[in-house]
Amino acid sequence: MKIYDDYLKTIRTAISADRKSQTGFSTFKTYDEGIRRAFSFADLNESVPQMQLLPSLKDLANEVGLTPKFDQKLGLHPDFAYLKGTDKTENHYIVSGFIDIKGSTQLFSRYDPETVLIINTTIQRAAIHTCLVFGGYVHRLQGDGLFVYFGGKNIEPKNAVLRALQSSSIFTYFVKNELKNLFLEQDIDKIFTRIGIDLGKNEDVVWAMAGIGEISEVTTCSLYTSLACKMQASADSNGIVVGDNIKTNTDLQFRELMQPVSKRTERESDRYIFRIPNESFFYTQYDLDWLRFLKMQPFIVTDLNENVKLKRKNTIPFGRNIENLRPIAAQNKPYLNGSKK
Amino acid sequence: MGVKSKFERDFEETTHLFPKLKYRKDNEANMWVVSGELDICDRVGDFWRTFIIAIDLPFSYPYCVPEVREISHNIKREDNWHISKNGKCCIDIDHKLLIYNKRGFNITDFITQKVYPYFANQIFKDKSGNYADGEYQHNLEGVRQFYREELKIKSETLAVKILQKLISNKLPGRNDPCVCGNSKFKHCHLKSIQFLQSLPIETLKADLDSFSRFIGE
Repeated sequence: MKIYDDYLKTIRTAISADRKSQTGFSTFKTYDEGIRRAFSFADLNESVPQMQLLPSLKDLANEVGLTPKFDQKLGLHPDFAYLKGTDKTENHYIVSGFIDIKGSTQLFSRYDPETVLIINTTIQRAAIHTCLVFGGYVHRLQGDGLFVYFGGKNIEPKNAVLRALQSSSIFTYFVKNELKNLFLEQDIDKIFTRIGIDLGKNEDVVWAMAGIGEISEVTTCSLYTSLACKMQASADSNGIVVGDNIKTNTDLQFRELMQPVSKRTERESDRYIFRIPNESFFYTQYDLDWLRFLKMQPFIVTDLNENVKLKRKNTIPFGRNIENLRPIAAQNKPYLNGSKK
Repeated sequence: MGVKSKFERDFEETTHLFPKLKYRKDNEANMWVVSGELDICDRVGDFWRTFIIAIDLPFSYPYCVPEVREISHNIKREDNWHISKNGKCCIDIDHKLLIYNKRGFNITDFITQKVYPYFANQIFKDKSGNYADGEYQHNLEGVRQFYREELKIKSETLAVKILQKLISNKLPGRNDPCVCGNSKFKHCHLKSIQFLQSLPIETLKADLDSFSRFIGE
């Protein structure tokens, strides 16, 4: 898709500068630690700046049409920041998402710790930047993963749901295809994501400060936030699992892309992620066919080879040439039968 | 949920390549209507333009002739753009579509091989001034061109002779001399005539009538 090319380039540079894999030493203690790395963690900030989208991802932001807000603070959603240091609460809907990036531990067997740090940080920054492109809010960093919110005071729940699904789908595509290909070149085959997403409605979500003093955050207390985390664990490798509230707040055309998890696992017990039998409450979890969902988005095109690409409506791709359309166009020879007009 | 029809099963494959197209069942018109956005990319995947289209397919699918309409008005409604005032797209010579009535077709192949190239060709003409591989002339001139260029039936007189034999079922045997008088039938016009045999008899009669009038018989 090319929108993460700049991030991939950084990972490639870090790998090529890795001392452990380049020298063939079996442990990272055996090389000379006095030799400066050709690409260090300090260089990362130039290569993948924290507060700036890289050009390749900027193209996506341009097509999505939202301006990423880089002035966020962890644990302090701007719409509910006023709750910090108070005992007030507010009921307000939110879409919660857990994005877990799995398999990075194996990187330690191949690379020295600083290389692993650069790789993990680059992937995490790609995830954060993607979330910001779609108007999300990063609430917490969890290991290599993220806990994010979508939605707030000035956005409809349906719209927040859509953006959460778009953001997750495009990031999953990146990990499943482009990142995977990069690591396959290195004989590393198991870096993948697992994502769980759910919507808690106004009456089901209480915002409040958790913790004490400065050891605190403004967060949600909601069954559906907890379920998003649980559903992440239900997801297949590179899978996205969503709750019933997400399904019912999505356009009809997307609902058929959500199938109960039990259909994949062939275990009926996996159908519900949560149940309160004496209240007849059974809450279904669904696998999202995120690739088909992604292909249906207005900022994505699928070419005749089934490759997914960014649909550049606002910019003409560099080097686009009408001669590249000729082989497809030449299959057609139009006619006009006036009697049928 | 009932058993899916042949069309519905085939359309599942269509959505992988053309995910922004969907279908509905029009019971009043007795047809499937496929509609939505068709994004045109070139061979290296660069995006060029989106057309909003509709394809009408009678319930007799796959044995039917589909009609393609352009809804987004991204093509000038002029004859030299091979589109009618109401957006009906003339994606190919009628004869090549009419054989679907007998031979059948697959919806994904139809979009990939006929619809997508038509819209790619419209962009090509818009940008370069010409269609990539020429065009059929309008009406009877286009039919004559088709017989001449693709069926290798070089004269209207020969076309009349072939159509008369075809309609009256008096074709030569494979090893007999061809209708045109040259070499064996199997090495000459057999393939062209096999194509014509797949057309509805009404089309053959209409062509015979047109060619006869053309040569003044």
